[in-house]
Amino acid sequence: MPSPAASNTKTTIRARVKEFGVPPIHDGLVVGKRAPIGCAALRQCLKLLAPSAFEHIEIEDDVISDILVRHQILKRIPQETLIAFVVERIKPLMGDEEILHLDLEAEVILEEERR
Amino acid sequence: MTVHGMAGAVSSRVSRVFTDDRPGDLGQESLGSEAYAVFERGIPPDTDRFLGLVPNRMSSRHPTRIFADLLDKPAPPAISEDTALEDVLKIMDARNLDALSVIDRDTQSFLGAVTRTSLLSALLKRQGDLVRESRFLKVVAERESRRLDAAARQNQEWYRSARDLLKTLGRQEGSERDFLEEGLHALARMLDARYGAIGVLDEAGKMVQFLHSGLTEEEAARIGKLPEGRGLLGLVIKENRSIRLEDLTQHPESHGFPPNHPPMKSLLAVPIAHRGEAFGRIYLSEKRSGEPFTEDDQALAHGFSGAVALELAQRRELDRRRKTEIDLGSKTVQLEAIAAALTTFLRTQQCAEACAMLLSAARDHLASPDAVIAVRQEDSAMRLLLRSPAPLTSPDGPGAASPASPELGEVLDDRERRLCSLLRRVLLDARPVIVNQPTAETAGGPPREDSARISRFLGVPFFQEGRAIGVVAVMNRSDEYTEGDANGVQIFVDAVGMLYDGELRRARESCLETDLRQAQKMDAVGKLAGGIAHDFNNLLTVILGYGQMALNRLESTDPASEDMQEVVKSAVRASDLTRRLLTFSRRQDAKPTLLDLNAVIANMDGMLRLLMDKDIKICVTGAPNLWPVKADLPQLEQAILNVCLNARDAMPNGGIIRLQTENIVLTPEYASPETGAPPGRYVLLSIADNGVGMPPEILERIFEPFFTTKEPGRGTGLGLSTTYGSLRQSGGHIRVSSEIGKGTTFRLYFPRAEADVGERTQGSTRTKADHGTETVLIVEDDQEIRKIARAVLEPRGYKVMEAPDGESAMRILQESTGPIDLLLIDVIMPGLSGTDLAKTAAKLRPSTKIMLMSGYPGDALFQPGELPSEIRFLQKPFTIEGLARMARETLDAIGTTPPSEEV
Repeated sequence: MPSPAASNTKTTIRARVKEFGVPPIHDGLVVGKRAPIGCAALRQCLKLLAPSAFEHIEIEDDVISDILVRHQILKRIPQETLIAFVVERIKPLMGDEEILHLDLEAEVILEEERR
Repeated sequence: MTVHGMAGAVSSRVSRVFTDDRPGDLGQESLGSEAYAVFERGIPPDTDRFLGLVPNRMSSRHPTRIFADLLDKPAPPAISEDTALEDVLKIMDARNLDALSVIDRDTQSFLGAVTRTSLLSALLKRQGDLVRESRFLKVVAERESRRLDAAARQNQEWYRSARDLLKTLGRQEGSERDFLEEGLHALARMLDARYGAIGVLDEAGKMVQFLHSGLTEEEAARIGKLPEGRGLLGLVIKENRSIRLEDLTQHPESHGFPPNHPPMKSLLAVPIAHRGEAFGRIYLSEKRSGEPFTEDDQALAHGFSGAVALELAQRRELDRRRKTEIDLGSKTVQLEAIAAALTTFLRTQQCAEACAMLLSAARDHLASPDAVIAVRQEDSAMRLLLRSPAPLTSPDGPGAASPASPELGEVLDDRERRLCSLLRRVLLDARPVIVNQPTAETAGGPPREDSARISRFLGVPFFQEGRAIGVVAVMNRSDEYTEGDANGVQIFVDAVGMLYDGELRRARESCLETDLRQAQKMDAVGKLAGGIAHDFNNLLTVILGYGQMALNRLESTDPASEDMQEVVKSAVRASDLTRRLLTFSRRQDAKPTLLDLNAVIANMDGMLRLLMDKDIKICVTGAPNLWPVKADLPQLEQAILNVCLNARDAMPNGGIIRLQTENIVLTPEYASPETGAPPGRYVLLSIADNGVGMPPEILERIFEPFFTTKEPGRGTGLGLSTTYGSLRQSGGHIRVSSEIGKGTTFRLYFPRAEADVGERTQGSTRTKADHGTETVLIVEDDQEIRKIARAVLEPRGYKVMEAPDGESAMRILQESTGPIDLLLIDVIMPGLSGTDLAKTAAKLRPSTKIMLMSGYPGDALFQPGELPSEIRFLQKPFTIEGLARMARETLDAIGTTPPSEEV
């Protein structure tokens, strides 16, 4: 790469400033099997950045290695349902080196018939 | 960190990292790491927790991840330090792992990591080590193989030697020498010894055998002598202990080697002993390898010597047992034979029969063709008691001075004389005599091969009260006799001795009894005869005196004169008989003088020969240095004459009369039974004939007065009685033995006399002083007296003429033209009396000298002065010397003649 001082290139700075929301992760992460950062490192990050607890789910899969999900989510969505959703709907969307941010909107309809 | 079990398989290229470290952040020090050991940080720091290994392959693929995300899930197993490399490899292959952690089983702490590379390196290294080790082992194996080959060859040799040794030790047959020689050779071969030797000792510790190996016979011959037991060999023998020397020449006890002995340096000597009994020594010298003997060699030699000792002990014990068995068998046979003999003796009381059985058994026991039993007689002569297989026909044998004893050199053959000589030697030596080589004694001169030769002889004496009294002898065996044979036959000899001793004692008792009876009888007869004779003698003196006076008063032409002459003559004869009776009863006056019996017999020799018939020989054997005896000479001569005449009458067809003198000592066991005499020193005169002999019933009465076997008129029966009496009177004894058809022997025992000072032995002077050449006319009606007078005078040179009565004498005086120098006239004769004849003859031939003789004393026949002084008177019985001396003196007298004397 040529030194900037030595070239005649014009430099333009464009900034997009946005508030860093904390925690940066809403509901969870899907970690690809060949992601540059592993699940252990991610969990340590989450532990430092988010006060709420995240559950770690290991998956035997050729693309996905782990799912990190906010603990309260699993109160509304069963783990198996979540894993199936990820594998069926998200996996096709990601490569094994990627880490995807999950922002889940889970709606629970409660019906109750009382007598 | 030390990992023992992994043996170098732990990789040195494992880096220690923490969970939050990133491979990409690691520095240069981690470059080249094969794996990373991931630890979780602990507080305090030394409490870091090992979590697992991340192989380089994984870290290099995710350099941005933290090592916590590179750990395998699930974590692979860890191995321990003692896990085998092969197992580690299997685990890696099975799980496709590049590295495995090594942890301590107890503490679960991390010790290191084994990577595939380090593992393979370790395996390769181990393989290399194995290869190197294999090469080393190969070299070692080759060397050991060579050593084992040599050892195998040695073992093979040992095995062969040991087999030979065991074969030798186990062999039962063969001689002791073969056994020792083979054993020695095998041992020397086993120990590789050039020389070996075994010295064998007898029970007294004396070396009796020396065997050697390694030396040729020529080399041994050059050395010559056997070890003398000095020096080192002597030390081994003396101390009975093992000796092992590297250089025996340096030992202070070494005495060097004899000339021509090969040099020896190393020595191994061990004793051969068993239970404290030493049998000998084993010596080994000079190992062929040049090395000294080792302790193993010594132990082996010691073991061998022990086996040899055991074998020798067994062999000797076996020998002893065999000998004992043989001895027992032999003893059994001997005892059976002895028992049979004793049974026979008890049944039959026949000593001879039992002795014959024993002799036969002894002969069979020693496998000898001939055997004899001989006994010593009281006169030291030998008497053959028995002979096996052929018994002697006569109980008397060579040398026996009995009538039955054959004449030496005539009847006995050479063989018997030599046998007699050998038997005497056994008795003299009083111990067994063995003669195996023909000598002059056994062969009778130069060695020769004939039937007369005694090829071999074994004689064993038997004893009575410590004195050899007999011999059992065996002869002519083809094998030599040994001392063992003498011992083997001893029991038979003892049995024979016992039987013979008993026989002697019985004989002694029997003789004593017989002697007592005989003595009592003879004493009674003697007293009776003596009393009668004394009274008769007194009566006869009266009869004779008055008869002679009556006869003197009668004219010769008176018819009563002849009758009176018969009365006087009978009275004279009766007087002679009474005189003999008095002699028998020992009442006759005797004038004992010191006498030489040899000289007495020599004096009588000529007379005796003349008295004998022409076919009777007289053999006189006088012992040299004969002891003197004391006896009345006339009585002694009469006694000898009586016995000789008795012998003559016992040989009507001729024969031999042997007179033999000798000095003998009668011991208590021989004294009474054989002689009737007490023990002491005696001069023995034996008078033996080989005439008709006498039966026992005659024998026991021959000394009784008036007992005669002659026809009436031929004997008075007083000859032997007077002999008996005169012998007893002189303190002597007489014994007689006889056998029908063989002969009779009279043995006259005279006590040895001690000469008093100045006393001179008589009877030994037969000088020329009583000799002459004149003519003597003997006028005597008793033919015996005529013969005796002739027998006295003729040997002394006189010419003798005889006339049985006065008338015959007158005719000779008238008719003879030759000179008659002396008339010897019996006073009492039928017809012309001696006195008348003397008177007539003095007138007829004045120069003829006259001697009168009578059995009656001269003073009873003649009044004092009645007998002319020139006529001499000779009292009968006259002695030889008396007759000869008076004849000479009468012839030499010139005119004046000494008064008549009783001679």
